[in-house]
Amino acid sequence: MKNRILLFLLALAIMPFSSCNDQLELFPQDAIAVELGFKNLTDFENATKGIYTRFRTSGYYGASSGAASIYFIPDVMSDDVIINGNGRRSREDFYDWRYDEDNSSETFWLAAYSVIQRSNLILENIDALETSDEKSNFRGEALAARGIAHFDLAKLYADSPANPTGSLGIPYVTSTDATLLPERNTLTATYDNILADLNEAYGLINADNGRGRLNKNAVAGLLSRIHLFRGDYDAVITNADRVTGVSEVARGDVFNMWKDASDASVLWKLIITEPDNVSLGVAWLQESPDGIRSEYNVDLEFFQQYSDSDVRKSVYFETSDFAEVTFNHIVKYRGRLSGNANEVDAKALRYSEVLLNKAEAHSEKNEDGPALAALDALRSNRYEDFVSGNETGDALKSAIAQERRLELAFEGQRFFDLKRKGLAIDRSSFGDQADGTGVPAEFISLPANDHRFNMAIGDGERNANPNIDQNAGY
Amino acid sequence: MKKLFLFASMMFIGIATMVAQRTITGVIIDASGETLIGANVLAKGSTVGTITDIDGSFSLMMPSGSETLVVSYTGYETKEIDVTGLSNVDITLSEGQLLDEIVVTGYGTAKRGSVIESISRVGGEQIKNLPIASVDNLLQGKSTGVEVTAINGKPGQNGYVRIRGLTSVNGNNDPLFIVDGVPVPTSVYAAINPNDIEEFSILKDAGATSIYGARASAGVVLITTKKGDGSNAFVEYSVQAGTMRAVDDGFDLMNASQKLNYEIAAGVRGPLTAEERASILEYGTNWEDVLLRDASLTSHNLAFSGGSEKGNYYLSLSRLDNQGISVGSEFNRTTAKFNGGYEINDWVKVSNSISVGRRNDNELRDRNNVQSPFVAIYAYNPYETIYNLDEDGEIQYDDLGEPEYNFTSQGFNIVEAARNNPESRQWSDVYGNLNLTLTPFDGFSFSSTGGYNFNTFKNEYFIKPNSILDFYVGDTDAPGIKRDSGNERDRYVWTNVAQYDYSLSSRHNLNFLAGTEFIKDKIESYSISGKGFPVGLSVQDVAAEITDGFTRRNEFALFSTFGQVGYTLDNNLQVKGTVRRDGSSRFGADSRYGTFWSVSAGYDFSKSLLQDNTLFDQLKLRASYGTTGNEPSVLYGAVGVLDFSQYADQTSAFQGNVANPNLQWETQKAFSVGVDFGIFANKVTGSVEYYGKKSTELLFPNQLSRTTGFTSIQDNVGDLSNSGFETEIIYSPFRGDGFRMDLGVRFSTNKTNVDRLNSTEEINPDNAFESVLKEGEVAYVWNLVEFSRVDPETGDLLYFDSEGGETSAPTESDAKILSGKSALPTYFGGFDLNLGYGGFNLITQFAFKGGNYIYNQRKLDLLGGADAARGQQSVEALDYWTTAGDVTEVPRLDAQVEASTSTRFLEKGDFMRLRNVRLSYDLPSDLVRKMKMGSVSVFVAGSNLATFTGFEGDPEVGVFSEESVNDTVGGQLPGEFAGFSYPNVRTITGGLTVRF
Repeated sequence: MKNRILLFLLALAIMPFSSCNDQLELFPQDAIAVELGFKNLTDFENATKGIYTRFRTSGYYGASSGAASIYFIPDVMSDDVIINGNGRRSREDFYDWRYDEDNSSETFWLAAYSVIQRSNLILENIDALETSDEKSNFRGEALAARGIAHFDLAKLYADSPANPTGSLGIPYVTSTDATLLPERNTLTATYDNILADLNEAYGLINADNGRGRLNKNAVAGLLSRIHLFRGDYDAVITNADRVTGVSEVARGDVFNMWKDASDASVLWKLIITEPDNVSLGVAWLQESPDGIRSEYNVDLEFFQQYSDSDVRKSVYFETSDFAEVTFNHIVKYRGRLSGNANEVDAKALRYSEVLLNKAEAHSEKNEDGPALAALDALRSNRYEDFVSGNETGDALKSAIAQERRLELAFEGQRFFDLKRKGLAIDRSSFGDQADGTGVPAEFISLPANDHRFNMAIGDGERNANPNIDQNAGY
Repeated sequence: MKKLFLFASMMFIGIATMVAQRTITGVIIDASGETLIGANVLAKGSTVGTITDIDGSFSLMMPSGSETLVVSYTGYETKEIDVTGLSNVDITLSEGQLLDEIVVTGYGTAKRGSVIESISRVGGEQIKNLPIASVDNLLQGKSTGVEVTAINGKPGQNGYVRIRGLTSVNGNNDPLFIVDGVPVPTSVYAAINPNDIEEFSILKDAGATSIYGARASAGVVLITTKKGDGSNAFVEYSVQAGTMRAVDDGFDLMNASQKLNYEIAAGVRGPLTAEERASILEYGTNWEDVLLRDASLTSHNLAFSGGSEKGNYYLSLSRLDNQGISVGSEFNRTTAKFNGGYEINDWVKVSNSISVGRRNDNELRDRNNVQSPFVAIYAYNPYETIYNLDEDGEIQYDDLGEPEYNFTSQGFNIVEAARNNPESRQWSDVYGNLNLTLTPFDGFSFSSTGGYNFNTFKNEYFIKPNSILDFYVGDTDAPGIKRDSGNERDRYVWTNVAQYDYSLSSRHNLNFLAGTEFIKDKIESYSISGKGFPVGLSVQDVAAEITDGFTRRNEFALFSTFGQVGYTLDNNLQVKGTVRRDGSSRFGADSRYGTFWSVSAGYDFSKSLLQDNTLFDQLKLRASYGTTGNEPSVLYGAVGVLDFSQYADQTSAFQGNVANPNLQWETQKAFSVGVDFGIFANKVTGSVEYYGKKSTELLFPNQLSRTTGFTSIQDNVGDLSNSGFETEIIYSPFRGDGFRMDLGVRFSTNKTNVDRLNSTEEINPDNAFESVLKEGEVAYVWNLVEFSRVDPETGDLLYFDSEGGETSAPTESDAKILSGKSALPTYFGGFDLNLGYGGFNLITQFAFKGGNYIYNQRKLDLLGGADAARGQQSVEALDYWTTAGDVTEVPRLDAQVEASTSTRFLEKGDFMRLRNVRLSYDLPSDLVRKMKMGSVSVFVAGSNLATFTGFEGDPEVGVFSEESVNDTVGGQLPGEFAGFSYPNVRTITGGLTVRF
């Protein structure tokens, strides 16, 4: 009896030897192996949306506190805003142009290359699909996303080809090989690649992908943006003219457009839904029971350039008290008509910008007629009882520049407009409060072509990749 | 109870009479002459025995053929008495020698005298009645080589336990905690009722730990809970009550008038007329008084313990109510435990252990902003009021009749938040095991244990509709935000161990051990968030909209086989070899299995070469060398996976990590050599030990070029080593009756060095803020810009730039590696002085540590300059520079104050703390007997009563704040930044223990 029990127990104890190896095969329950994820149209549909998921995150278009969002830091670094002494002083390093070898813009660098990696992963696997319209469209979207992400990197980290001071571009990455340690391409090669990807994408991508995804109009519009940054005015016009079937948002709809109640004139946007937990508007303000608590207010000198007949004055700004002090708050991203505070879609490209690109390109080519027509197509939808100034020559050029600053304020444009034109940033001496009192900016000007018009490459990248050259001045 | 036993004894005697030849009577006393009640008396070679009665006397019928009595009593040496020709014998038992103490080892036990590994024992009596809820924190200062730092002072909070330094950078640094054979996760530490603990056994060197293989490189802590004892049955009730308050923070804050002056000078407030000034100063708030309090603590513990020849039982119930020091917060815990064992026959024994418990707390979130009361008391101004007041100082009310809260300079009101943003946590824990032990023939045993651990955790966080925070983050059309989250952990362990002792001859003894173990762990978590709650309701059922939610499931499994062979020659030379093979689900199929081993040896000179010496009672040299492993904290790092998210409410997919199919075990090679000694009749005992550990193939995120779209890949890169000395000396000059004294000193040193990295550049690891890893340097060495002084000419802060000149605008490239300086202590320890006289016992325990450098962020926050002038500041801030020639440590008001990247606030962290003092009194046994009780003891105790340090503020720093660390609290480098986390507390308690 005793022996039998013993034998039984020994068998029991030895049993695990044979069966346990299977028990050690455990896989995550919220993910699948990469190679299993690129087999059919649905897989590619999911992976394509994965690209926009990354565009949406903090660091690219999203805006959690302090992150280097491409949508906001170019305005924080510009002459359009002043830091609010009562705010949380987020992104102050950018505002003070104090970025150097530190890692303050690394979140953007990583986000952009992550968009590129997701695009490349689709492009590397795309031949798993049979030839079809859907396949072409996925390829087009991936190529477009790859080109745009490289352009966003290039405009922040490298010179404008329209105003070059050196010849360094950024690494143009077309592979998902994680062991790569790429060098920086030349500025010329960088832009050649960007344009090649976007031009190819234009031929492949569908027109009807919807505004929440890249589409034919969006690619053309983005090409006009890129060519303007390069100073190729003919190409700006060609691509601007490819945008079809869209008209400028009417004056009465401007407010609704910023509240996501109208899609008029939006060519491409990143859709933000509640589970995303992305609040664009926190870059500028927080709601508090004591009033709007701003991070940055509009600079008074700039604010005064909005006339009372300009619909944007009330859509973009609100003058109200926080803690019994009056400020001019930036409310462009304050939220939808209902729903969470500061939660709105990121309008990555609007027809208004395309019109301004086109107007500028024509005027630079001294084609004042079409330039004025494009400008007035915008202006007539902004001012009450609009009457064209019928400007020509330099007056027209400055009217276009002025309207561009007014229209695209806080959309990540101002800093790059100054950069491509080789202009200095000169802030006013007004303080942060509504009447210009309060604490003025500590740092007033950034000289034209200062090295800080290019961001420093972050230490994280440079430590891991010795092949990357740092920008001049850092 | 006693009567029952007497009755049982009588029965025994009665039965014995029938076969006995003669009667032996006697009295058993201890060295001081006190009679011993319940001592075991057994006729050797028979099952005939009895226990002593309340007078310490016994009467036993000796069976024929037996002429020897075996007398034993817990805590005393067992004695054999030859009673040939005697009918009455008085026996004196002496207190047990240290060397006979039983020490729990990996999968077994050993006598202290024959232990050749580094194992520290901490007895349950040493942690009795300490007002600390989490068992890991009880180990502070109790053992050499074991450094314990409380994460923060929150009731029920865990500690950072580091055994012989830091083992890993990115892997696990927490020792493996095993309760009665079942490994438990850190979340269960606070579920254990300390009164149930019989002892801790801390395994430190490879000789002791390698039998736990892949999970053992950070050391192993074995917790054994109390078992009933057939010879000593009792019912014990103890109660404890006391108060706790924050330890002194070391800062003087500005008063209202000073603060107004400061604000005006800083330009955040315009000049005031005398009238305006008076009206501001008329009302104000002492925020510390409003937000903090003397918190009460009460605990009750009831235990039943006892047994019979065949069985034993231990049953306990406990309840702890521990208020938090922030107003309105509380931690409470209820536990029940049953340990039982039964001998079915002479070779089959079964036992079980089961614990169930529940914990609740409702602390506010511990975060580094004014939503935490511990930050708030340093942020709100003394002239600010809690409520909006009218001109007469009356509180104003809103339309709903609620008081109107003042938003203050912080745009927030913590008093309102405490009321309207409640958070609560609840844990339920069930853990235990079933054991079957067979001893079918002499020297052999087989034991099979099934262990189980089931925990649930539930967390509710409610931002009530229209609370201030709801305005900031909520939706005015759907007011109120609620998050319900939690997890459920299910772990089972099945362990089989066979042991065989074999004597070749009286000189040569062999011991074999072999076993298998399988662990499976599954944790499922969930979260649901909703918004739009009707006033007064908070379940998600009523939410206007469910805004977010998820469920997750993570699993791991480990299968192991292990074996050990020991050899003893003449009872003084011992050699042992251990091997364990672990298979882990965390690795790819190619590197799933790891094998770990150790050898150790010990030789006791006092039993051989020095046998005739009179000085040494013990002089044992021992050494060990071996390997252990460390699993990666990530569960699926070997596999490249596609993660899922959403875009525009539709599925999106993307690659989540870079696969590394070659990922393998972190391996640690460790050696340890030590001497155990006892001199002057064991009046002085102790040990000196030196150890070296080298962790190779460190699991670490290997940095990638960000152009790959990723920052890092999980890889095995780098080596880390630890070395140090450990010394323990216990001096016990007076024992026995009358005056008693024990003095114990424990001193340990440790240095953690980065031997090799995959980069010659410094690496900033995810779990540290400003300290870095650099090849050839101490681990987590500080990398900061060196602060010089305040420029007397300009009032600017001056720093040394990389060329050694002074600059007022340093950049990151001016930061230097501060060689040898890190947040890790280089020495630590404790000392105890225990005194006794008659029924009085005084226990005094000090703990110390030092050699570490802490960034005093608290001080920076309170000397923030003009940018921080809207919030409260320290009075020291008033010494700001004003005119050329001023020599001061505080710069001009509008000077740029650096981020936390210079040495300006880096301070030495050395401190010594009077950790515990306990004075107890045992009522005289005569009196107790008259009261018809077994024993009565009363005590008063205090903890953290005094601190000696040069650090400004509380030097015992754990976490910066719970919510501003990456990953989990436990993964953070402890003590790097001193922030306003939950402060440590000073506690005074008193209580009573009664035994029936």
